[in-house]
Amino acid sequence: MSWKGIQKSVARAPQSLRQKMNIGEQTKDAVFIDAERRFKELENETKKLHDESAKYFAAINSMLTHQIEFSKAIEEIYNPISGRASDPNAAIPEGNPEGIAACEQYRTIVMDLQVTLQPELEMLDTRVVKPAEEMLEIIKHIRKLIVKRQHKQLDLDRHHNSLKKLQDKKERTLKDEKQLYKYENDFEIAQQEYNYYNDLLKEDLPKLFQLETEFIKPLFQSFYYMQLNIFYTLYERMNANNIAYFNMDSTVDIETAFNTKRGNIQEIAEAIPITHFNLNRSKKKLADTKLRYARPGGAAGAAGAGSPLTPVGTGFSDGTAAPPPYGYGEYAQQPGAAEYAQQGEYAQQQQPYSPASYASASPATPGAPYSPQTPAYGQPAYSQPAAAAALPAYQQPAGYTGYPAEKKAPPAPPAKPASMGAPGVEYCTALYPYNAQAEGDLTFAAGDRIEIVQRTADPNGWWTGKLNGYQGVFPGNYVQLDA
Amino acid sequence: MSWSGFQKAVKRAGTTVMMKTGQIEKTIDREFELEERRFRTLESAANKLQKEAKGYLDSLRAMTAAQTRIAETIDAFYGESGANDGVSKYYRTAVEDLDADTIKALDGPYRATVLEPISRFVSYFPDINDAIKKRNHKLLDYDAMRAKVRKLVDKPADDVAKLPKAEQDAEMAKTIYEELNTQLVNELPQLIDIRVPYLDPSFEALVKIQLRFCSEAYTRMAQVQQYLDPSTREEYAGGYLDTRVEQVLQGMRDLSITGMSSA
Repeated sequence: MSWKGIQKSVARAPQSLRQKMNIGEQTKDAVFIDAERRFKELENETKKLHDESAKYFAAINSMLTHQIEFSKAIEEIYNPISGRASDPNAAIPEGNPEGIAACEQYRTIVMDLQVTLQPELEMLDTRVVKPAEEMLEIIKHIRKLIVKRQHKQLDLDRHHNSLKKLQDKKERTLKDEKQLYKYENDFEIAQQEYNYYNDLLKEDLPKLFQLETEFIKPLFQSFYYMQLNIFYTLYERMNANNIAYFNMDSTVDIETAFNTKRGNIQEIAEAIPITHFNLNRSKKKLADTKLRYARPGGAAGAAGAGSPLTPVGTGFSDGTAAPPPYGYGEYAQQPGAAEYAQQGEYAQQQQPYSPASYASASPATPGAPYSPQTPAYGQPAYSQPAAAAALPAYQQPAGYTGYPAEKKAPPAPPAKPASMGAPGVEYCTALYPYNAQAEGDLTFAAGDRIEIVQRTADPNGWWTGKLNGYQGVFPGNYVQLDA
Repeated sequence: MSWSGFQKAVKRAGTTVMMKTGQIEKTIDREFELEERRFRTLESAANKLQKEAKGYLDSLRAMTAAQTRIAETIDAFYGESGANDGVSKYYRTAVEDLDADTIKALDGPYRATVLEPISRFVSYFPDINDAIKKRNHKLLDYDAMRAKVRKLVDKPADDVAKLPKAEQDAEMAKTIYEELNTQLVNELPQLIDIRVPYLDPSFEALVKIQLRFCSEAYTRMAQVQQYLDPSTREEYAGGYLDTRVEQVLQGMRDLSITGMSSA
């Protein structure tokens, strides 16, 4: 901005503010305001026309390019894959030679199309995009003039305000009189300037709108015919394609024909185990894990549970396994469980099954910090008075990580260790359904009440129970002892 | 990563370094390598196919969308200027119908016959890559175990139990590795073999959909022609329309408000 420009904008600033805040008197010209609104629309529409026709141009080009690239990619698929690119003789006779030929034919057509359409597309550029660009240029110039008029209006209002203020003053000093004269002069000049620009715009803008109509009509017609030509060429060339490879029978629905041609290839592909490597792997892991569980008492209680589990993998962490059998986090919240705090870490690892924890759970490793198999630490966790449903942590198999955070209400009063092995019948309620994995297992549904025949102090061991007259073993961590 | 996974990774990193320095011999399985190379070729081709299939649909949509907006703009111009011969309306309707009906009618089949099957095929790759990765890990484990056995044979340890244990470990690692390796060597060619029947129908469908689109687009566009003055076609062909546009533009420049008239 020039120095003069800065001076002017500083001088206009207060009035510009007043105009924005709508304070004081302002010149309003309804005719001009309407013309300006139309002009603004014209400006936007022209811009849109210009941008969109450029986009259109680009889209058609990219469409054709993608067609060519697609055919190249599918040709790569059709090509024999030898794995020894450097040795052409090594190619196993496979692939799809007819397909390759069709690809080449198709590509010829599309490339030909691209060449044919090129002049058409260029015409779109010269006949639509370019004129719109020029129109935008013109609009820019007019916009400048409108801004100028805006400034002149500001000047006019500004001088008018000052003049009025002074005129309204009751007692004018000599200095004021002098000022008054100056203001009158300024006002007069501003009025003239403003009128000049205002009238000019008011006179010419309608002319512009008129010309615009004349402008848009041939432009539209050009655009339309160009488009028609493009589509016609596309249609004609594509239709004339008589690549024998394709069955262009138009009476059959595209999707039906596709499905007929395709057959059951997807099933065949998905029958190849490698296509579902990860899924199969986790399934296998799960099966292995289940197998291990299905060996109740076989290797005698806890010791049996300890050793075979050592290589436990991710089977459970993928969420397919139902219950979280070992809530170590629970231990950590028991009173006096300081030496178990370490187990809280296991829970945080999202893998409560880390082999170490198994090993230590078995009495065979007395060296582990929590090996003393006192019922006190196993019991309270399970003997909380809450009903099966009230143990949300257990009901969300995915909520492993939730355990440590759930240092919720103080734990219920620990059950007396004395209740262990106490005479009388004990019951437990199933937290999860359990299906027999082997002979001698007890099957039950979640919520079933099972009479305990024999149980270990360790909730992770295999217990023996009676349900509906059947007796069998089941994993102790699937149930909750009834208080 | 789990703790055991981390331990394995550390151990394998050590083995890799030892291999680089030549302390551990690396097993080379030419058969597998050949199949892996073939698989890589297939993978890159299929990925490219997926990209292009998507790109085609995207540009088709972009084209009709741009067309619709152009029609809207032209119609707005016309409406404002009061040239009520209605052509712009018809044009706009035709273009909008094309956008709505045709594209939507073709979008579904295109997805069903081209995009989705290709994407489905491509979706097998991550699993296969995991399997290959796992196979490489298992091979590393096996190589490490074998190197250990060799070392113990060359320089027997004081503990006599060490060698049989190492031998047993090596045997186990070998079994695990071979199982996976055999699976890959057997199954990769199977997948490569069915690539053509799997992907070929999509090509045909693509060509058909293209033709269908072109014919729909042309038919709809041609309908608008009846509303236009027949003479305009010649005017267009003869470049008259162009001249007209240029004249109008000059007329605009000549307006004193542009300040361009002198130029």
